[in-house]
Amino acid sequence: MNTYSATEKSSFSKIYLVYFPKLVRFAREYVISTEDAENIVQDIFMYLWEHRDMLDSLTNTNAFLFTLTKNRCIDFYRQKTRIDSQKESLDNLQDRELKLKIEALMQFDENIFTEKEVEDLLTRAIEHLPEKCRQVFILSRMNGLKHEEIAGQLNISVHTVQNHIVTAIRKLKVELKDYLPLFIFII
Amino acid sequence: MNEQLYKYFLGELSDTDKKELLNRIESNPEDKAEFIRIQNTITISKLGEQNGDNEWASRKKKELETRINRKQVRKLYINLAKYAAVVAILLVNIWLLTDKFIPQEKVPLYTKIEVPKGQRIYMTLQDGTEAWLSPRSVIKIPNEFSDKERSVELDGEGFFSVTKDPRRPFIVKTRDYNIKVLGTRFNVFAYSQSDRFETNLVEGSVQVTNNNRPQENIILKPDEMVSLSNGKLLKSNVSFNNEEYLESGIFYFSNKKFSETLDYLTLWYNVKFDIKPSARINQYTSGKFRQSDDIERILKALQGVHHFQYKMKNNEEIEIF
Repeated sequence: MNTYSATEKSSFSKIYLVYFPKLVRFAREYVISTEDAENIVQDIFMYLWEHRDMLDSLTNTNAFLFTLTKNRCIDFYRQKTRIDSQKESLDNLQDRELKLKIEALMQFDENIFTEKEVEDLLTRAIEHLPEKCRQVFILSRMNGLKHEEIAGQLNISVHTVQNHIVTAIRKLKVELKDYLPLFIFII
Repeated sequence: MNEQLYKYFLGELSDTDKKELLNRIESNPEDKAEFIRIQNTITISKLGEQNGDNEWASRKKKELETRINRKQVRKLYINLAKYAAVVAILLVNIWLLTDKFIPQEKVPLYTKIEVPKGQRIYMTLQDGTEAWLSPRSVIKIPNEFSDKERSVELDGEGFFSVTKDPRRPFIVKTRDYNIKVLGTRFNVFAYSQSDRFETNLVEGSVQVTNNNRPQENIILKPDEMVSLSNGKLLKSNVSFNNEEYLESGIFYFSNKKFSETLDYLTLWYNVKFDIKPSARINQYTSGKFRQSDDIERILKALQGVHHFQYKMKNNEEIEIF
């Protein structure tokens, strides 16, 4: 029954371990629910497994996977709103938030994946941050700690942690300006 | 404004504040653009590797593998079902095809031709066979001959000139006898109202078979005829000289009992003869008459070769004395 080769299996496995968490974090930003994000990404990998012969021919796995995830999230939203519109709750807060987030996702410029190594870009951006700010950002983004945990560890207030994070985001936003929309045209 | 936006992303806004913010973003394109810029920056900021990613991914990978295995088992069953369906369809097709193409007698469509009394019909069949039919004969011809044989049903008298086709014998089916030929000229006399049965062969060879006793069959050579005598087929040498009659419509009889000629008239004109002993019908006579003439003219002509009187009782009955 298992007709796939060991190398096929190991390359798929490698890609999975590297990308699953990143893709889920990416998706979660837009579909809000972690569970939905995980399901979307898991479905993508199911699809990849069934088409694993094409994995070798990909020139940019990174861009391919993120673009696929972006599209699947948009599909997910459309499907969800189709189902929800048959019910009532159109005007509730969560729906409006989700709609806004999907708009942001549609504006997400996936060229960044073909032109830059996001990892390098982040490292460079972090280097330019003030000492304390960098420390906080590394704990948050690389160690994945919650703001409260960082506050406890560094013995500062949660509010201060938040300020550092906001500063870091502001700086990063400048670095990324080529990939962020200047204006929003009517969508 | 920006403060509120960042607070939103930090999760610091109450529902009321959130609502207010959303209202503003939805109505102000610049606010929306800023929201999107911040959102997408935050997204990118989270795309690096994080502690714990490996354990999380390993756990989820196991889940995926179980799903793949379950799906493959299901696929296997679906494939088995597919093959089963294909085999089933194949079997049904084979059954349908054999039903259709293994030659078995289909219900054929017939053309039935009835020759009016006193009239003759000349016809050419689809295979080129020519047939001359005597009055009041009925022939049933399939609209299409089968691949194995060419068969017609005859009740009456017909002269056939059969086109040669060694692979498809030509069969004339009568009530009691079947006449089977390959290509030949022959005459069949087999009116169902009459006990007389005759086949004369002019050319080729024919086989006459009793429908009820297939083992009773006779093969004729040219200038032989077979007739029914006391319920048995009897072969005799005679030359069939009525070929001209068949084509011209002039009926010749030579050295025949007068009763025999009356029999012909009975069959051809659908009349009944009430024969009195004074008519001496067992006398032998010779002569000819035109078949298309009406019965009275023929009787008058016959009075020239045999001494008798007749009286038309009505259209169907004639007294001979």
